[in-house]
Amino acid sequence: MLFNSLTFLLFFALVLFFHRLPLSWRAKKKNLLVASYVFYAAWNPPFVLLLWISTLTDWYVARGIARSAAASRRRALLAVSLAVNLGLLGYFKYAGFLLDNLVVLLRMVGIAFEPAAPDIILPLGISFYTFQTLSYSITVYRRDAEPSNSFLDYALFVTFFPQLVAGPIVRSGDLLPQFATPRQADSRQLGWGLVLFTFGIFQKVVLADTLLAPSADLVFADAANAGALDAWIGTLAFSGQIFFDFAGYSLCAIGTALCLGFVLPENFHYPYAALGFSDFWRRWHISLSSWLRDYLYISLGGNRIGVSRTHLNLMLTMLIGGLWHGASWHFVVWGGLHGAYLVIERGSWHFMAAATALRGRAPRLLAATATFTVVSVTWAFFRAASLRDAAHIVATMFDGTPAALVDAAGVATVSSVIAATFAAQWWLRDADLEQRFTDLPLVARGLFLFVLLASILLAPGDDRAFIYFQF
Amino acid sequence: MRSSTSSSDRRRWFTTWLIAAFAFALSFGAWEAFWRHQGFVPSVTDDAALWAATLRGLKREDPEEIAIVGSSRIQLGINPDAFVAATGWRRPVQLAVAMGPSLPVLRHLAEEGFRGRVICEVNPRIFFAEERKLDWLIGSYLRKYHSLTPADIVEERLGSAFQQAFVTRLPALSPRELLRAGMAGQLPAPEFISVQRDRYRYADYSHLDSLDRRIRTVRRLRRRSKATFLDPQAVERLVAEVATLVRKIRDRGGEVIFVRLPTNGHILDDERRVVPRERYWDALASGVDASAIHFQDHPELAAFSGPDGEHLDQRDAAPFSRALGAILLRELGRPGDE
Repeated sequence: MLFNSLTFLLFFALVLFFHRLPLSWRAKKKNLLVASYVFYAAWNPPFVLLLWISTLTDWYVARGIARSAAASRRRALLAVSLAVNLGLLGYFKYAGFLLDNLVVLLRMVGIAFEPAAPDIILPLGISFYTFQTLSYSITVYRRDAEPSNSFLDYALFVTFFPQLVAGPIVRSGDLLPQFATPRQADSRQLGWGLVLFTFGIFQKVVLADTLLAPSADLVFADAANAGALDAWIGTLAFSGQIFFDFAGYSLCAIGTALCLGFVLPENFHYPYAALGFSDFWRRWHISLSSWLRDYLYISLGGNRIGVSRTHLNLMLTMLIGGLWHGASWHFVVWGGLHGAYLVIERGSWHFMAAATALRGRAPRLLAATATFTVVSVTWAFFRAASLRDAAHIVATMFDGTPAALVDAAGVATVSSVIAATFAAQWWLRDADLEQRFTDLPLVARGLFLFVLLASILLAPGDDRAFIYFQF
Repeated sequence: MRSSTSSSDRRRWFTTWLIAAFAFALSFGAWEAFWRHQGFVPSVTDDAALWAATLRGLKREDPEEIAIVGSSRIQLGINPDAFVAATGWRRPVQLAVAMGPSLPVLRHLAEEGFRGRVICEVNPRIFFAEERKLDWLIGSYLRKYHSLTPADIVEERLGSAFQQAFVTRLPALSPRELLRAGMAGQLPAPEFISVQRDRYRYADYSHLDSLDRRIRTVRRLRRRSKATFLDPQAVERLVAEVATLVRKIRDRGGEVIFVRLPTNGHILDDERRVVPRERYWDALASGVDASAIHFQDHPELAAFSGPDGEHLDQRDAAPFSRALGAILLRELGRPGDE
């Protein structure tokens, strides 16, 4: 069920209605759990089984770990959680990719192997909920938290529909305590939650799908014939599209949860105004980058073992982060490039520190522009259908070939949306959005929302799924 | 102090949303009224999801069920109310697709246990084409049917109910089209075809001020088209396959009726040239154990002509459906009649 669908509006109205009835807290949580399963099953009912497997595995693993004093048993139990969750993820997401690469490797050593193409459907949100349940078991293993006493709360933590299929990836410490006590949104939460939801839908439907996606699709579908301007416009369009698509989803998720009285963590904080790449990753898909930092980078040793090992750990973390996004080498390259940027940035730390220490706005703006440009160019590797297309697009950006694909209206639309996005993120980079909104006069607030709603209504709906659904 | 803050907060949020809702309702109503006044009428998006949901609604096991397969000609040519009034049959389920070949749908119905009546429109340029280029279209529609999720079904129902009620989200009124029309210094023109939730289409050619241009375009495209058509052996193989499909449906108690809808002018001339009746239609009609109705054999059907040479205007669709219904009734009788 997509947030930008009439079905979701109907579903959510019903959920909200039942959540505000004078029922016991336990009954309300049961309602939310059932609603979450309905939300997931609306896409493909049998795959609810996978959710149950993941839920039950980590419930029992975490309890076993908490009860056990023996380190070996605790490790074995954690290995069970890792094997089940990563096994599911590996089978459904990476089996085809591994098989393709095996075929290529065998061909390289002269063995002809033509297996039948695996017909595997990628279960919606599997990359998100497996990471969420894994974090629960790892947290208990590290003795950072006790396992939950309530299976209902725990199952709801895994399944909570606003963030189930595309995050934010929530930690148990953030959500489980919220299920422990009765919650119902107050007027601020309800009002602001609806604003966030509306703003999220606006970002997805109007900015990502209507204004930016057509130019990105046009260029990347015909990468071989793109000219320099096409390559820039297509790549910048995708840079904006993926931000508004995913940040829009996250806003919808946070807004939906807030309408029910729950607070989800922020997932994007004006990433295109980042000063450098570490800053970018503190602002982009925050829940994934912090997950990778806490459970992968630190587990690998982080920066505690020496400079070379730190660089290796950074590269490994970003390569795996790239692979998390999809079973294809171009995602790995995208992750590898970001790893390299982080290593280079870390290597030139003193220089960067000196540069950003300058108080003037100009050097900071220059650093933000440079970061945004490099991040945007790197998106070509994420979006292109193949590595060859990506390399061609990036090379074309600098070879001066005349434009052949995007028309003047496309150029004007993309450049104005991207310029406005960069300016807005720069202006808001240290701001609190809610504060900025509530500081507006009442009429301005109302009219701002009216503009969002009217734009959503007029934007042609072409049923694009959220990009991150495929991950 | 706390309750006073909370109460003022509530008031402020309520007012914010009230202003937004009021402005939205007011402008939505004005927008809707303006475009309706310009001649726009609601129309449903006729896409794979609507087709798949329509196919899903087909009662395969019911011998009284009627399915229409074919191209846009029969999607525009049949007025279901007039057809039902003339035949007393159940309202047919409209599965024809613009530019769509009928064979893959007939194949699907034959292989999926359909027991009712199939009205299979034969558009000779599509039905007897050598390259099955257009089969991908039905293939994509059938894939949508097989992958239809519960959410898709609900969304399709809600979406088409909204589209049937309002003109605001018509493609012709999208911001891009409005901008294009604005740059040309004019308002967008109403669509001449509207689609209903049951997938029947109604064409009002009086809205189409560029009919001549459209006819010229179709003629040019046809002239340029390098389409080739089946040779006699291939026609024989095709007819044999169709006969098998017909037999499967008849063995379950169902019927298939092949229908060739009226064409005229340059379209008919073109069809006579590239897919002559004797070589194609007659081979089909004589090779299958099913009723085959060609408009040229029935003066009451041949009397109709489409403004563009192949599609009937909505004003003609009702009398044409009554005429066709009367012929079908003569040929097949009411369901259950021996």
